[in-house]
Amino acid sequence: MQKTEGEESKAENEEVKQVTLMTSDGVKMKVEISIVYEMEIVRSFIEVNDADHSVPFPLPNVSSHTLDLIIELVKNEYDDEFMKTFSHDELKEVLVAANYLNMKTLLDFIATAIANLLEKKSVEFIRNFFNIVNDFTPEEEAEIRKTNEWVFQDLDED
Amino acid sequence: MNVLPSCCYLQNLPEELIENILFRVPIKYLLQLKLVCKSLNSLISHPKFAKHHLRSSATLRLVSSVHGQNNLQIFSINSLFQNLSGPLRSCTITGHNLILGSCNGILCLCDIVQCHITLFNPSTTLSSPAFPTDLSPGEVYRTFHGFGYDHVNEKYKVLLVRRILTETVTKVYTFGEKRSIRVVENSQLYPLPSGRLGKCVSGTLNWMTPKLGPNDSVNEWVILSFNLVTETFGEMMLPDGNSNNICKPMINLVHNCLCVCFFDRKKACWCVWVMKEYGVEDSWTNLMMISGFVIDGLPCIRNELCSCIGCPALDPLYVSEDGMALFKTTSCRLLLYNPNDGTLNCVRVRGDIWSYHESLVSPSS
Repeated sequence: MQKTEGEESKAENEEVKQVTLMTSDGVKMKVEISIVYEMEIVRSFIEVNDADHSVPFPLPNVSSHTLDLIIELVKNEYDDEFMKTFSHDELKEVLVAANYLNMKTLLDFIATAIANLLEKKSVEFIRNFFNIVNDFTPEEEAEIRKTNEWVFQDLDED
Repeated sequence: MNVLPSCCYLQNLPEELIENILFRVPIKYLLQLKLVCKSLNSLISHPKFAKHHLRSSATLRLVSSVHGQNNLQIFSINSLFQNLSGPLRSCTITGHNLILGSCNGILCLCDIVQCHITLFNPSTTLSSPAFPTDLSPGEVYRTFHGFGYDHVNEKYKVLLVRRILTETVTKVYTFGEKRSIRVVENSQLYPLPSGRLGKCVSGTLNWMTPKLGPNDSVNEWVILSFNLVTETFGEMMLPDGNSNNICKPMINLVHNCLCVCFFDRKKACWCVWVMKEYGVEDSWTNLMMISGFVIDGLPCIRNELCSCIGCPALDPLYVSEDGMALFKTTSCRLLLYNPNDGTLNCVRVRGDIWSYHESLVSPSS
């Protein structure tokens, strides 16, 4: 009897501690409430509406793949090594999602990671990363190089 | 169901997110990114971006200028702590200059011979047009002065206080498209020669200043402040009450707050305090107390001998999160303090040393 009670209360707790989120590709995902609470957009909704956690909360701008990555990142306490396995697109997806979900710590973490990735990379690499096409004429490019001359002489490694 | 491939949102990241990333990129690489495309170039070149960048993530650097040389040496604070004392780079300036102040990543230079003042951003190497003054050659060494930003009128201003025989003249030089010079009311107090460089915080300039008693002896130390918005002088109390114990006080900025460092005779240690909220005397917070330190190459500093002639005052330049501190001494040396073992290591850096934030702020704005 005692055992059953214990299992029941454990099951209840798990029920309370999870929130169902519905991703852009229609996947319903049960997410621990501690993780959901980092998502200000969901948290404020839950707190204001005292909502039924079993009704999926729609996230029309976040794919299930991105949400998976976010959950793993939060679970791993923002592990750099794990994040280094992300493709460029994944990094950008997580950035956009962190902004949409209003996850301050994650946004900070991912924006810093991208900044570190871009540092010391060639201009061409940056263009590829942001999907940007060079729209300068050679003359305009020379002008920019001239006005910021010291930047293009590789002196400091700091 | 309407399912977009996830990468479709990313063809163009929203500008606010691109900005959020760029704020975290050091200036040097940021300036390289101007070559990426026109829109990134105009984003990085925009004065608003420069302001946001300065507020969110500017790197603190040191700059030194040696009398008689027309270049500035730039130092990385991290490298100094790793015993790499060489400069990161140097930048050439015209003329022989004295640094009058540092604010928002901009240095104010006074040409000793031509007697004009110029604003110079060492991160972008851009300068403002020169602003002539009525100083005579070399006179700037005898003035008390300060350089700072009036955030209400969005103008850079230089205060020059001259003493000609018994007469004192106080003038404010305002930079900008329409620059102006205004004579303002004199201060009743006058800093000592070693403390004549004002430090700018929250639209004010600040000097450590003695109040003299009978026989011109120092009765009390106060902070003389000049409000750059109203262009008037004021006074503030030092922390920790009894200023009789205060010896060799210096004033500077740490974490963008006013910071004072002095030797406390009674406690027999150096005390570093920051004023967390400018102008609020209750917000003075003790940052560190340094006593019984081990000296490398500076046998003259012993606590009990703090008032000896050879012992320099400690001018606080930087304090890290974990209590590593960097002081400038009056004798052109830098002292690195390590709280873990209480050691003070000496680094020789020639010339007059200032700290500044790497910023994109235009000196002509």
